[in-house]
Amino acid sequence: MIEILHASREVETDPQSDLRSDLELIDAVNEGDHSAFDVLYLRHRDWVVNLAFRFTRDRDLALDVLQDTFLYFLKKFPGFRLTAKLTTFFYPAVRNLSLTAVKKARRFQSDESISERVEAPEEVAPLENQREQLAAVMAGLSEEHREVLLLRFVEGMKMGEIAEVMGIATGTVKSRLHNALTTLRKDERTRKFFDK
Amino acid sequence: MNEFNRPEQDEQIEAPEELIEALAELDNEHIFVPPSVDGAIMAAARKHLNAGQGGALLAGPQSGTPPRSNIIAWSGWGVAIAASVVLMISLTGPNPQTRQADQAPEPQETAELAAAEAAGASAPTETEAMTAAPAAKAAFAREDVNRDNTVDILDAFALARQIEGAQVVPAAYDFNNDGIIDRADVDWVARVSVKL
Repeated sequence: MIEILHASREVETDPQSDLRSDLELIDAVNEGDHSAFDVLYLRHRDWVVNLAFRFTRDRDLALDVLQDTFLYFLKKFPGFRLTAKLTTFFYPAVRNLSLTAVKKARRFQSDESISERVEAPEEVAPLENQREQLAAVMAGLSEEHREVLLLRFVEGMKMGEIAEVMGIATGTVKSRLHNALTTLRKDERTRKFFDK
Repeated sequence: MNEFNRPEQDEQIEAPEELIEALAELDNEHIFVPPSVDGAIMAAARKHLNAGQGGALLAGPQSGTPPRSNIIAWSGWGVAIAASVVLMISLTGPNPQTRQADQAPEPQETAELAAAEAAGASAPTETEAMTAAPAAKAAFAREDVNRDNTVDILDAFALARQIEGAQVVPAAYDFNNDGIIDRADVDWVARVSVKL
């Protein structure tokens, strides 16, 4: 009889207790210090998996993307050099891996387009509260517009950072941000946020 | 667009505080990452980094193609590694795959990959184990948990997730023959996957 046991955490490294910067940790990993990689992983894990979930809207796919992202990151060592924030490095990898994961999952599902999967929220009827109304309006934005909005005001990225992670010009970021906010301002469901 | 205008660009694009709070709340999906997934990723890091400063086990071929994002500066250390030290060891199938994710995976590469798969060619630039076409009917290696015709670290991840999810795990996954399917079996697969 085969007994199945749940795995337990082998490493309880607390990223909060390690005061080294990402840059210092990366230097350590380049020297072969796997515990430094563990700290980096635990420090950025939740951000990566939640970003992946934002793209995939699927928990299992998000976990797959989490694994693939850190495997991709791991393969950069030794020799990896960080010249910007680590999240700036992770973002395009997570996005692209997420798109790939969704497309792969789609092959075995319906012909529903990826944009529909990514953009369509769960049906909530009626739209009673502000959160649901905002979600509905956000779902109506294009993926590009929604993303710049979240990167700017939720992730707190500057225009230049957003341009870098999305691979677009800063002017394009500004334009998309402006258009996204205009849409929210004009929509009666979200206009209230702009009323003073 | 000059540097003097940059701060003003950021300041001009503002959103109401209430909207920002609502957006943050909307994006507040938190995905729980099972400890076994953490363990599998950290185990992969240990194996890769302890394999030697040469990074012989997981380093892929270093392409001369400029990285998609110029925030990543190659140290120049990376040397093209022979096929015998690539990440994915193909035990079955005619086309051993090499994972060559030396830059953030591009979504458009997925379309090329799909075409290459159909033609039975190698997967050039995806980080996921897209090896032989899904229709491959050859017998799978017993460590090939995810049945992709390649034994790699993704099989360790897949097993870890099955264990964590308390799914019915085939007895065949008791790789170390100790009567229990647990972390030790995950480590077993990880060791096999990176073995030269």
